[in-house]
Amino acid sequence: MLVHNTVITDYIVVSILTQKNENSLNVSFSFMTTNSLELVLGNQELNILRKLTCFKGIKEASMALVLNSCLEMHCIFSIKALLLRQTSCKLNEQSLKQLNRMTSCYVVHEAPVRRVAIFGGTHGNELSGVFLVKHWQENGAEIQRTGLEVRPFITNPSAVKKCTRYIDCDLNRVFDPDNLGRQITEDIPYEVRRAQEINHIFGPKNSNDAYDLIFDLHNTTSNMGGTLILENSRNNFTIQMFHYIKNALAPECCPVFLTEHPNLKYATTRSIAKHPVGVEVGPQPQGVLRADILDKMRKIIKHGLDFVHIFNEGKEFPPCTIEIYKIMEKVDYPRNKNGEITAVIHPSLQDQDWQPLNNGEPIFLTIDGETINYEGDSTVYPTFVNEAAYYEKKQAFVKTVKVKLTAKVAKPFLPDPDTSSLILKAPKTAVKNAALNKADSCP
Amino acid sequence: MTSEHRVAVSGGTHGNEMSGIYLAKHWLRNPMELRRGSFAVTPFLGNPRAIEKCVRYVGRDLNRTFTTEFLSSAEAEDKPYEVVRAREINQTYGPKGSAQAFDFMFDLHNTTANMGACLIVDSEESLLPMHMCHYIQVGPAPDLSTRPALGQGPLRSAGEALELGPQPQQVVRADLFTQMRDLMACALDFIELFNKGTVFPAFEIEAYKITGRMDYPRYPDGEISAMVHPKLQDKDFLPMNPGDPIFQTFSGEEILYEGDTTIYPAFINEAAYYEKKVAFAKMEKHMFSIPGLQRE
Repeated sequence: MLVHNTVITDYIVVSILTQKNENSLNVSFSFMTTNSLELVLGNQELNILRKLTCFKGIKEASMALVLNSCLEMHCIFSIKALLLRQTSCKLNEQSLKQLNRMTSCYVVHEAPVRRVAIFGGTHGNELSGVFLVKHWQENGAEIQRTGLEVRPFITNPSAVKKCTRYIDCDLNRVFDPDNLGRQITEDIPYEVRRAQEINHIFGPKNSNDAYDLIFDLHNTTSNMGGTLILENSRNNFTIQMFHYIKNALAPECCPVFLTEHPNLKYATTRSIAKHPVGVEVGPQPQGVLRADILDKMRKIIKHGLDFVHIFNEGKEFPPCTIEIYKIMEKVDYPRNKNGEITAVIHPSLQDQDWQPLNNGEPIFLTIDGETINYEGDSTVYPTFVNEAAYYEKKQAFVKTVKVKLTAKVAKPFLPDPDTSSLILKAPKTAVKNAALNKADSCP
Repeated sequence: MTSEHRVAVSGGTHGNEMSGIYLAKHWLRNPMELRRGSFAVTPFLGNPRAIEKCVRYVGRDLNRTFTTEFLSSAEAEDKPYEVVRAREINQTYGPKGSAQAFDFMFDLHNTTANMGACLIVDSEESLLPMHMCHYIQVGPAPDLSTRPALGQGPLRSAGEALELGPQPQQVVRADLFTQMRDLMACALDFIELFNKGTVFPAFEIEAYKITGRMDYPRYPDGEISAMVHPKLQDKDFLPMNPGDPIFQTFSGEEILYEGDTTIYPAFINEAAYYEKKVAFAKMEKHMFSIPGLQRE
């Protein structure tokens, strides 16, 4: 039994599953956010929860717990996914401690993954994704799997047409709440308008209508091979998928890059999905289409979709551990007072993505031939070394550390007619339609 | 041939080919490196507006704008920036063939193709650049990997282009930057020796002559329908025989080379050439006998 660290920041519930066993009623909530938290509550815990939510009796088929940044817990009761009633109560220190104690976990049941999208052309000059998506839009047989909707989509068509990274601003940085909620005016950047369109089709972000899974296809000029990008260290499903893909591609390396970080994480196009997956394959120059790089990306998608299919069929994936590279810090080029770059990536570091970099080893070479060495306490693993698009973002390379991530058992929760429902008593203002008998997997 | 005294070097004819841009900017701050006993080299930035935006060009490709048509057409306000710029450069360093033209111009380029170090000269009859290439290949710091290619260059003063790759656009690789710098140093040493009256004997040299170009297979709407085949990718300067696979469709089918004779490809999968409808350039390999050279 694993006890979770329950650092509570900002939660939005993705799915709720109810299951009645012989001696207990189990309600499990999985949360999707920067720090996800899985709670499996027994009867006793439900009572505590009742007290916290100020409701007597529980009648409804599903219940959502939403904790916002003010640590207010909203309970949303619903019948057939219709939002009925919302109430809130503030969590004080004591309640938080109780919530902490309630966290125990064995098997986490996930919702099946049904709606999948594959994004190409988020950056218009990263051609593997552009051409794969265009090909799949003409002939999608390769990406079909039973029980799954897979939609290939070009996210930045204007940039693709011009074969440029972006028109006004980087599309892969504008899926934050401010930009997504911004009012559309004449002079709004093209990419912000586009982000809102995409959010409308595949989101809304952080809602239950959002797509389950998005693969976002990218290239890099860095020698990163076929890198999988993970946004959330607690996304069980995605870690299991990455484990599956890594095994399928072995002995070929498939590094996993974790971008979870309080400051450095950015709001990507794929972040509107419940399970965002970045696929970054390099080295490939911008505006160039290499057959070998396209093939590598194609294989990653194939194995990713195979995993989803197998998962949905009900297979239970045992706990697994993968080695990943977690983002630590960005390193800029040395610059002079005018902001001009005064040194380039040292030949010893060039093309050495994912290789250990130790204190005292060269990282930059000035025009005058001087070497600048890395100064740090510990070994780091650089990546995005000499990525063309990052000169303007002031990034020569990114430092990462090796971390082991463990995923729990992953198994989809498939509705079972024998399981009786958890009935929650709705308050007086509830809609008159009766509660469901059948356990429901998602609000 | 008389001494070469007025020599120029252009970096950034294409604003995203970074080796030449960084070198030119460095030389503009520190011209000493470009000095020799008998001459000095004037460095300049070919396309400053494109360099600022880090793009190949802003209006039209500068390296395709040195034609008589563009250089001598009537003044007009709506001309692309590059037409104005080409005229400026032609004014300052040319016009070709005229008395006031510079003696020699180096034009620094990068390519995304795996071409190594390539010297592009307009003809094997241009003795000075052919001897310069030979000197680079077998001289004091021999670099046999430097290859001469003969193709039509821009209508500028006498000179040559240095094409180094592979390097992505907008990226500076230290190894190519250093190599370009060393090549330039060697080239200038050669000019210095020439100016001092050194006798350069005749020699034989293998050189490639550009004879044509091949486009990607395309759909009716103009989109490319196949990629450079993995067996052709990165194989610049290696023989392409009839029947060799050259393209691969997105469904995995192979398209084969249907020419009669062996050719030598270059600029395989150059990013900037997708829009120019060139998947690769076709070249013939020749052995040229180059007569001896000494200044008058």
